[in-house]
Amino acid sequence: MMKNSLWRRMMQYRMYYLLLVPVVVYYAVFSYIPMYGVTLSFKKYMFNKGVLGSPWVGFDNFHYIFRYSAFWNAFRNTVMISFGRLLVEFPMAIIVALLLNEIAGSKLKKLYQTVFTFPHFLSWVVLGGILVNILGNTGTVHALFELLGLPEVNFLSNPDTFRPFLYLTNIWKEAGWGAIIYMAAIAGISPELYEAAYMDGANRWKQMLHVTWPSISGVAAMMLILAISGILNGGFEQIFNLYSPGVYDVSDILDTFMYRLSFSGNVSLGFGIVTAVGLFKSVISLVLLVMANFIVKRMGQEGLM
Amino acid sequence: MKKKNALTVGLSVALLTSGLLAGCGSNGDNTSNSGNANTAANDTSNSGSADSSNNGSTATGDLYKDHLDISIAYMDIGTVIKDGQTDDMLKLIEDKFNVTIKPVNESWGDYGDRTKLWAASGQLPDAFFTDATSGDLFNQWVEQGIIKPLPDDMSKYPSLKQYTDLPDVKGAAASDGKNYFIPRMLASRNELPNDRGILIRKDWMDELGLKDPTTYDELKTVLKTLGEKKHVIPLTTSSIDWTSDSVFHNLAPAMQWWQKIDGQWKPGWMTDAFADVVAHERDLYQSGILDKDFSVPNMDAGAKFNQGKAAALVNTVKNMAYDVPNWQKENPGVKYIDAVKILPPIPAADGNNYLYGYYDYWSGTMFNGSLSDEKQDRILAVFDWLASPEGQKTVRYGLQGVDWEPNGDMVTNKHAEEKDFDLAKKYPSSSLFNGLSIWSDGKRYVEGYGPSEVEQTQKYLDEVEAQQLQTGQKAPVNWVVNAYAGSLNTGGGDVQGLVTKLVMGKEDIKEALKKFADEQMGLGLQDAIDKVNEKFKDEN
Repeated sequence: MMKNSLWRRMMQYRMYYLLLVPVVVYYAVFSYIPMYGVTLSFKKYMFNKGVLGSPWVGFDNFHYIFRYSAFWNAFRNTVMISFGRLLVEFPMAIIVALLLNEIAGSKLKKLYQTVFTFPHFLSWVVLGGILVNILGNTGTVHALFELLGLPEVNFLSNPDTFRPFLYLTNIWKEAGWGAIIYMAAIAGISPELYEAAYMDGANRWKQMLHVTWPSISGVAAMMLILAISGILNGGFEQIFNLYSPGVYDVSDILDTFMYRLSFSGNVSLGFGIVTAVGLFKSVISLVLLVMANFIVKRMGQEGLM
Repeated sequence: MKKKNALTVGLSVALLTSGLLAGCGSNGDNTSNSGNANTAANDTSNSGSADSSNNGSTATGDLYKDHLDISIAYMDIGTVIKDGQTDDMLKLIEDKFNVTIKPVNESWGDYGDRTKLWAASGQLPDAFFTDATSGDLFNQWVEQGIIKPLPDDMSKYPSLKQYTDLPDVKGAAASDGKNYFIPRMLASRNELPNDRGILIRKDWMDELGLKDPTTYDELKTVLKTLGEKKHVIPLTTSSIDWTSDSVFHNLAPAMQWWQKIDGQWKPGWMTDAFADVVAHERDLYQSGILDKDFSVPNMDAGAKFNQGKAAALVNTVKNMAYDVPNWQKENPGVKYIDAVKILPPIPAADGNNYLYGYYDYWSGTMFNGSLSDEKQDRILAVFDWLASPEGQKTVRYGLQGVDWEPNGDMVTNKHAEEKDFDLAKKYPSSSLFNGLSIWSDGKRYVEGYGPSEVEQTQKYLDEVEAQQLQTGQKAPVNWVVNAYAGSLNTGGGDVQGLVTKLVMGKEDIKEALKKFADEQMGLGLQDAIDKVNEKFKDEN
């Protein structure tokens, strides 16, 4: 009976189901089927036998990476850099959105929004070259420091300044783009709320605190969960284009470590070992996602699951 | 109306889905013809060779009766072999051997990645460039049949055989005793004085009355003075191991070369002499002589030097002749060799200069494991000809009768007096063929030098090299032992990264190198050391 009614409903909305087909195919083909590749982390990859035919080796690959100090360095950096990003970069998009919202003229607001959003469309490959030119020891910033009699700072190769440098450049590139979703949430707030607050004697600051922020905090919570699930991603593209052996100690993350293991030099530890690093990363990310979702729900916000 | 809607939805869905699935298909580029092309190519008839104009080459005759398509991966091959591009050199070679070359493109930045991906996806071209001619990955490929060995009897290919018979090439044979690559020969055997070195601003040294340094302290003084007086970076480089080999090769040979210390073979980076090299580099860095940005990605040290922002440059100095156009762009009207010179090396403690050394070859050509014998034979024939004196003259000077005339064993180059003549413009494929089989056979086929700045720079380079070969000593490296040691897994750690960190940091150098070695021991280095010492305990 139940089955019949489901089938009937499906037939009734068959066009919608048909429209859903490409999405289902997309996820099946590009997200689910390739997942068989993770079995490689328990195998020794043989070029002639492929993923399915390669022999199983149990947890050998994991034993290998756990003995490798560079792996632990990369793991530590991934966590540190990601938490750093959460603390420093995550709030910036909200702050930018709130500040943009306070700009009076709509033309000026649009101008600033465009200016802040633009860097998002430059790739890190291009930006890497630009930053090396500006911040290198023959660049503009170096010349300016020299002129002002300030001590030389090698932003790109000094382990003490490299992480702040990563945060700052990423904020510059992404804060404007990240602010868009908050701007959309702000646009949806009823003007009546502001009017009521105004009538109650709330100034701009109080309005922001008691009207704007509560209205966008749900979106912020959702973005936080997403950010936490991606915590072990650390920003491959940015780091890969900016880091160098001199700053590996503070910047080598799991993704860059995997890339080097896979491709650089003639040293091939095998795709199995690299996949093991990838699987390790995914499992931890999943645990973090579930935890973040749980915490957010406990805090009274709506979670993802 | 309803039917029309259903049709629209159905068609849109079909279109979207097929678009999605199209992404999963074969990439459709020219790499896909590798492997599969093996059989297909043999069916192709004699087309293309029937009306061979030959241009002075031998007739194809019965020897190369069947036309073959051969896919070759090489740096930028896709830009020099293109459809619709007329190129008589390419035509000559394709006609002579009755083949069509199918280019599989790669670049200097990605050839390693691409080769591994092709191997993993069963798309290796018939023949491909590789610098992994030994080591862990090479051994895996041999074991798994990914690559095809050279024939046991190479006497059909005399120009190649003379190279595959060399001791350090034989020493790089796989564990099954077979050789799997054609070595890409360097110009001089095991002695490459101009491969690593320092270029310095001669004009500035003269202006400041500075003499060539003969000790490390003098070198520091010269560089420091240049930096201070000219307000520039004293010494720039974009590679720390190039710096070790160029500035300090008389303290210790390159870090990768195994040395016998106290009766025990071990990698060069484990020796005290190498720790000394790192200490000297740290000294250069901390005293502000070495470019602080040496490790920054994409930092163009050559450009800094050419733009007058650095007084000296660690470089592959034999490439000076190629750098002439870049220099001219930045310094119009200033002749390169009037302003720049190769700094004589600082001698070792015993007063000798030990030349920088390397194997007889760098990199090689390997063959797809599923390649037919017939195809491999044809490719080897092409490569053998390219390595022969006739082939070398062709790839360097053009076509006989058109671009040069024979003059005994030498050639008379018809373009010698043309200042702006560029062989690569006339025959784009020449820039492929002049490195495809070998880099060089070490011979010069023309007498004298032309008037162009490039030729004059080459003259200067040849003079410096001749002088260094005469006065210098061979590098204290056993190439046979190293050929074997290089084929072993030594742990996979990043020594260069560690050295960079040590040069820029404050850590105790010997302790850090020891700690690194201890970790590598457990990851494979100990086994490698045991194997080398067992096999070569009586060698020195």
